Parts: sequence; C-alpha cells; structure tokens
Amino acid sequence: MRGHTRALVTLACGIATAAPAHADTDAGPIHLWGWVETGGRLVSDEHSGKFEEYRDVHEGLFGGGSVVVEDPDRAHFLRFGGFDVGEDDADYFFEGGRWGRWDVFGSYSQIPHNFSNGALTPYHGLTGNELTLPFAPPVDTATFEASVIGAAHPAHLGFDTGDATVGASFSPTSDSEIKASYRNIHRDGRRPEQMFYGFSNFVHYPQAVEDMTHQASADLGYSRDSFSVGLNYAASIYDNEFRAFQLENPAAFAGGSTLGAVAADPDNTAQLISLTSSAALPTSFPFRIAGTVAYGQNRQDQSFVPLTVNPILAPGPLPANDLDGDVRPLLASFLATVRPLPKLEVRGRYRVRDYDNHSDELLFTETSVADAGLAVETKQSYAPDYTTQKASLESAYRITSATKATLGFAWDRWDRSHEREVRQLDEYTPEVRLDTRAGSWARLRAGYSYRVRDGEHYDELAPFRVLEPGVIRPPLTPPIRKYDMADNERHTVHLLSQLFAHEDTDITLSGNLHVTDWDDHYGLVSDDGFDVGFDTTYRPHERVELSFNYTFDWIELHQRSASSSGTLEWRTDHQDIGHTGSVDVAFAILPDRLTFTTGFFIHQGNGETSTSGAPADAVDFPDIEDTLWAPTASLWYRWDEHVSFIARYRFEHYDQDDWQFDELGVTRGTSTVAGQPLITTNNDVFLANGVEDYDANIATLSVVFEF
Amino acid sequence: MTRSRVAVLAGALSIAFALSSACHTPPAEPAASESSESAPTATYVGQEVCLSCHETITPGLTAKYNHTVHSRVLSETHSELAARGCEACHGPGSAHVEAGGGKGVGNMVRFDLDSPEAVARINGTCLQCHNGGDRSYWHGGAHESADISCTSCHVVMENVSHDNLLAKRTEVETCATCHHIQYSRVYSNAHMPLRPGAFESSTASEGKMSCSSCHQPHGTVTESLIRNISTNDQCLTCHAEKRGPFLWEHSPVPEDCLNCHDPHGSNRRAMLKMQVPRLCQTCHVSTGHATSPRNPTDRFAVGTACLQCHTQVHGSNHPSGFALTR
Repeated sequence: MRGHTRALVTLACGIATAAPAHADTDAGPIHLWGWVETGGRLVSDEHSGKFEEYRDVHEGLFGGGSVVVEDPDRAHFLRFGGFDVGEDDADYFFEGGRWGRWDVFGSYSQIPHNFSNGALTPYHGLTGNELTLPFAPPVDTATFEASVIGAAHPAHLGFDTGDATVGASFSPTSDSEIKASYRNIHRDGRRPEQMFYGFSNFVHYPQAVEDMTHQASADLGYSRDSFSVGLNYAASIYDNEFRAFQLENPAAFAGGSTLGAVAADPDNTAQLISLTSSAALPTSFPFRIAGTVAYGQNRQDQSFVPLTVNPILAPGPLPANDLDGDVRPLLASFLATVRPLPKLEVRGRYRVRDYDNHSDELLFTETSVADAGLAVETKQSYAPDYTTQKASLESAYRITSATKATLGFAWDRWDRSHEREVRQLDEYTPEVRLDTRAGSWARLRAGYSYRVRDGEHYDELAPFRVLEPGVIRPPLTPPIRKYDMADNERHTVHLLSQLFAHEDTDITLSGNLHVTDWDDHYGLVSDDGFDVGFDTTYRPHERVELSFNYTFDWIELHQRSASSSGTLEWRTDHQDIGHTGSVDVAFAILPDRLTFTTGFFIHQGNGETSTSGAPADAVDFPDIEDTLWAPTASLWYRWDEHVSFIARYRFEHYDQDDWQFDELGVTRGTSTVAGQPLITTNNDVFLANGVEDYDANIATLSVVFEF
Repeated sequence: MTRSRVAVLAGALSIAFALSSACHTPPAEPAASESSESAPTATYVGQEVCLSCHETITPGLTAKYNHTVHSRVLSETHSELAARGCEACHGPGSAHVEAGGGKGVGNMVRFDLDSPEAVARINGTCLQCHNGGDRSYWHGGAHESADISCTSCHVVMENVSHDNLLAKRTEVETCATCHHIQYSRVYSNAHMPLRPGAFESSTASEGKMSCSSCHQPHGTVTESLIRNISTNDQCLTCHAEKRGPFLWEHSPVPEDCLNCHDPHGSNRRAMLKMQVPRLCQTCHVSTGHATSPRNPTDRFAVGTACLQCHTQVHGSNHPSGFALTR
C-alpha cells in the first residue's frame, strides 16, 4: 500500500474506532491489552421487519470488546471477546495458544433473518409441521373469506441462525500445519412458503424451520521454499427436524383435497477429500505448477413420504422406499505459470469437474400432484449428471517496464446426460488485456473478451422422453430455447483505473460492460449490463479527510415468448438500475483528542418489467423500487490514554414498492395490486407480508476503555 | 469424456504430479529478500536497532506493531528467518543504518511502492513464510496476474481491522476499493448479511458474512476465486438443505445456482436475476399456462407467481413431485 494511503487509512480508523495505540497493561505476571465498549442506545423504530432484517438494533444497553492476555514471555496468548453482547445478533470469539505454533479457537455468531413483523395467517400449529385451521370447512367463497379473515392472527416471519465453530491448529515445524475444525449451523423459526391444492386454490403459510448442519474439516499441510502439499477432508451432515408439511385446505369446496402435504428438504450428507500441491520446477527460468485432485460423495436416503395424504385415496406401493441418492463429485485442476523470457509469462490451466450421479431412477405409475386425485400415469425420475472442462492459455508480455499486454484463449465444454436438451456444448473465449502505469501516480487495467457458445443439436423434447417414457409429444409451442444451453455470443469489457494524483489523494475508477446475444428465437434474447464506480479519498489538511464514492449499475434483458399455442407473440424488457453513493468527512478538531465525523449514504434501486405484444394481458408490471438513505454523525473524545467517549447518531430511511406483495391481505377480498382488485376468481390465502417501510433514529452514547 | 476415463486420468496425473513435486530441487528464482539487488555486504543489525530510530520517526509505531501477530511470531525462534524480526521482511539493515537511514536507502524492501518490480519483491517477501495452503494458487491467479501486491489489501504494522491485518476496517470495505459493483449490490433490497456498519457493530451493521465467506482472494481452483470446487458446492456450504440429490431434480439447479440467482444482491426477491413469473418463462413452455404473460392483477402474477404452485423449485423428494408441486 502506498504511504499516503496508509496514512489516510490510519487517520480514518483512528477517528472511527478510537484506535488502541498505547502500552499494554501488566497485571502481575501477565500482559493484558484490548478494549471494552459499553453504552446506551436509543431507537425510534423497532417494528419493521426490514429494519431488523439481519440485525438486532433495539433500545437499551449494548457492549463489546476484545481482550488479549499473554504470558510474561509473550509466547502464549488467550484472546476473547464479543460484539453486540447479549443481543440477538451477537458475535463471540476466543482463541488461545502459542503464537505461530498452536492454537485452539472458537466462535459463535447469531444471525437473525427477519422477513416480516406484520404477517397474518389463519393457520395454527406454526411451530410444527401439521398446520390446522380453527374454523369449520367453508362451503363457498363468502364463508371462505369471512372465516379466513376472522381467523387471521399475527405470525412473525423470520428465523434465527446460530453459527458456532471450534477448532485447533498445530504447527509441529515452521513448514507444517495440522488443523481440524467443527462447525454447527442451527436454524430455528419460520419462513414464508406456499402450497397448492390444484388450480382451485393455493395458500401462503408460515413454514417452520428447524434444522442443523454439521461440518467437520481436517487439514494437513507442508510447505517449504517453493514446494507445498496439502491434504483436506471435509464432511457435512444436514439434519432436518421435519420430513413433510401438512396443511388443511381452507377452500376444499372448490374441488381440491381437504389436506395437502409437501415434502421437506431431505436429510443428506457430503464428504470430500482433496489433495493440493504446488512447486517451482528445477528449470533455468521460473516455472511453477499447482494441482488439485478432489473426490467426494453426497448421499441422500431419506424414506419417501406417502404418495398422497388424501385419506380417500388408496395408491399402490411405491417402487422404492427411498431414492438411495448418491452423487460422486470429482475435480482435477492443474495450473502452470512459466516465465521463459524475462518479459514473457505464460499461464496454462486445465480443470475438469465431474458430477457423477449414481442415484436410482425410479418409475412411478401413479401420481397425485395436488392430493386431489390419483392419476394413473407413468413418470420416470432421472439422475442428472454432467462433466465440465475448462482449458485456458494466456501469455503476458511486458512491452515496457510500465506496460504489460496479455493475450488469452479459453475453451469450456459441458457434457450433459440424456435428459438435457443439449448434451454437448462448447464455449470459446479469446481475451486481451492491457495493464499500464504512469510513473507512480496512475495505473490502468483494461480488458476485452469475446465468447462464443456453440452447442450441438437442441433437442427440446429430451426431458419429456425421459420423464414420460413411451409418450410421444408434439413439438413445443413456442419453441423456447433455455438460455443456459442456447447458442450465444458475449462481449465483455473491464476497466479499472487508480490515480494517485497527489500525496493526499486517491481515486479509483472502475467500469464493466457486457453484451450477450442469443439467436432471436423464443426465450432470453439478450442480456446487457453496464456499471461504473468511482471512489476517492482526499486529505486537504492533516486534520481533515474527505471521501466520496458512487456506483451506477444497469442491467437490461430482453425475452420473447408466445401464448395460446404459440400464436400470440409477446416480448418483455427487464431493466434494473442501481445508484449507490456516500460522502464522508472526518475532522480532527483536536488531534488525537476530539474528532468529528459525518456522512451521508444513499442507495436507490429500480426494476422495470415492460411487456408488449398480441395477448390482451401483455402489459407492463409496476416497477419495483427501493430507497435507503442514511445521514450519520459521530463525536469521539479521548479523555485520557485509557478512556474515550463516543456519541453517534444515525437516521435511516427505507421505502420499497413491490407490487407483488405490498397490497396483499390474507384473501383476494382484502388484496389489491396498484389499487386494482385481483381479476381472477380465487380462494387463495396470502400472508399479508409486504415489506414494511421505516424511518429510524438511532443514537448511542458509549465509553471505551482501552488497556 | 466418460467417467472412468476421467477418474483414470485424474489419478494418473495426481500420481505423476506428486512424484514430480517430491523430487524437486531448489528453485531457479531467488527469494525476493535475497535478490541480486541486495547490497553485497549488508548484514542483520537486530530489531532493537530498527526501532530505536523508527519509534522516533513515527511515535507510537512500536505500541501498534506490538499488538499484531507478526510482532509475536517474528520475535521468537519460530524459524531462522522469523528470528530476524523487522529484517525478516525488510531485509538486512546494516547498509541502511550506516548510510543514516532514508526511504529505500540500503536496498531495504519497501511495502509502499507498487511498480511491477516492487510488487514482485513485496509478494516474494510475504510468500517466504505465507506460501502453500491458501496461497497454493496465488501464482497465476487473478490478483497475482493483475500485479496486486499483498500490501494492496493488508497492513502489517498495525491492526486496522479486527482480524487478518486488512487495509480497511472491514473486509467488505477492503475489497470494495476495487470491486465497486459487488459492493453496491450488497445494498440491494435482496441481499445477504454483508453490509458493514457505519460504527462497528453497535448501530447499523450486519457484518455476518464477508467476501471471504465465499471467495478465496489468494487464488483457487474455481472460477471467480470461489473457495469450494464449484459455485454450487460453495452455496451448499450454508444452504445444505438444497444439496439433495432429489428424487425429482430441477435440472439447472444442480448445475449452477447462478442460473437464477445473483449472489451479491438484486432488486428482485430471493436475489433472483429477473422477476417471477418472467424468470421461469425464459425457459418454460407448455402449450398452456406457462407462457401467458399475465396481467399484474392475475393471481398467478402476484405473490411468488409460479412458485405458488411449483413450490419445490430446487428439487422435490416427494413421490408425486415430478412437477415440483409437492
């Protein structure tokens, strides 16, 4: 990092965090240092789920800190602490051992995820997997509306994640390391989900979340000079408390089943062992190679739920008790970096990844897609597998000491199994880049790549021949081409520029452009994007620092389709725009004694979906818009070398327009879209979980003790 | 390529690679701190000599440095190199001391320069100790190819960040120095909890994830510096409920989560790239309901659109779930 940049960073961090910069505290035979902060918080808005989407910001006390304890020789240490101690988004950590030799470590992080504090539901039994309705089965739409609205009660939508990790590492020599860790991710709460009972009706409901992921990892590593080798084993177990979710149907009078059930995400396991090695070869010029081989197995053998929960249906036996799911991923990757001439560097890479699926493929002769009735029809499950390969070669030539030109070419290949529309697909990507510097005050990086995707014959009926063996389907209308497999061309331009025009000024400018075109068939036709970012820090005086940044983001996609047997064509243009910017000022009123900072942040996003064409319902969707802006200010006062006081204030404004949820009540009768009633007759249940706008004032006063 | 061929090829290459690595001889390229540019007579003077001047030049330097992990690891006999203290990184200092000091005097390794030659020297210095492990793919990786030095992202002499000696207070802000667009998308209405706060963690931050939760900036086997062997495997680290395999798969899901999602943030719910139902309609047709454009007041356009019926969009393990409705 450049010297003046480091100075700016130091000043900014000293202002923002009251950086510790004093001698340790000797507490008898041990050394002690760190910081502790505690204070009080006032908040004017604690009701919006969006305000606390991933955090717990409420009125009351708060605290945090980090403490390091060392033995007299400073060879052994114990570090522990936490942030937002006692709150629902707290973080705790500890680490102890001998510096550079061995340590044990652990951490625990609480992550709230709030969807809505204003959701409503008529269902009961929300902590389990059998949801019931507290009213007699409605007999028509009128009684349905009255019953559901009358029974609707608040249902907080959100779940908490507890993420805990413990581990240890040991370096028997300076060249080697042994490491092992265990991580536990536990989720508990509710999230919004849906289920349908046929075209007659569907319901939105709060689905209980209660699951746990166990992860274990072990590493052996050895490296010396320019040779290294590492062995890693990783295992993961996912355990879901629930196998299925069953819901009573509030509108069975419309023709659906009285009960419906969806399968929950099944328990599963994964293991992966990998070997990585890198070395500098004994040549007269620099020649480095690195390689990784990894092999694993993913298993899923949870027993199937019944074909249907409709008590009046009597399906036959299932073809198997479970899937016996078995996927064996394989990865091999090799990288060579060679400098045959002082000004020429060549990099070659080859990577193959195989998703080898050994899961059973089962034939079902009965289905019940909505639990309403039994359909005697043959459906064949399939176990998709694929292999991807990538090979690339690029050469970088240093034209002058300040300028480097790079030419590259990459080839990608997808080989897919027989149920996919395109079984073999190639991509070819030539690329050119230029890196140049103007003395010590500017650097520029620009790159252009052109990618051509070319797949073999597109067989649109391939998935259906596998799913429905023996069934002859007519060609699809319209003949949509799936964008992940259809032929296309893509142009990409990257730009990054950094200016150090003055000792006290840094400017970074970045830009990216991509243009992707598919053939003008049905489906996604084009995908274009452009973004530009600007970031600058300026220190006009040793006591003043200014920073400003702004990013503009634009994405546009075009798609083409047709309805009514492919005769009524329509087109949609998607456009997403984002503006993000901030300005900050830091002023050291009294250097290292009194510092004032203030700033303003804003993000504004807009998503448009415009549709035109022959069908009568080819009309625009309302825009999705959101705005977040926040002015901030803080005053930091250092009382002495140990004690500082910090006063902070932040105002947050957030508003969002999302036509798909804003005006939804719990029924059609209580729901509108942009002020208009829902046009299609339905007996659906919603959650009334539109995003809650908010204005929040957050003020804190705290004391920091450093030692 | 058949799987058996892949397995045999991978096995043969790995064996050959391991054998060649085990038989290596000392490398041709010199370590940066012992490059031909070094003054031939420079010797080590000891850390105390360095600090006797530099604490005067930069008051508080010692106190800040003494709280970093380097001050602990380089001050003990962890290795012969580590025992050199300051000179383990900056090189032997006798010529610098004899000349009376000064920036660059005595061919000391400077970490504030960023010419290509200086970047190579800086990175070579750091890689003397920090090679292997997470840095196995540094050479030839995206950041190394762009002449990024270790000190573009890291500060060694003080703890600016809580962990990892980053150049800025948080990892997200460090990466955002260059990666503006990814940083801005974190502030989209649909995002993961990466937002750094204005004032540590007490007021407004999320900070539950960082860029390195998914990316390995020092180089990896996977595109876009993804940590795991594929993008999907990375997502499934936390979202293990989507791993399956499922009885009824939604084919693009096990191939790439990014077929539908933008991992950095999106204006659309669930971080989707496009609005539902349009996202589904870019791929799906049946001579029937799928490709009707839908008036926004249609029950199949509001809410979660197609997903109100086809709820198991990531795959279904239900015997009746072939249409992802169960």
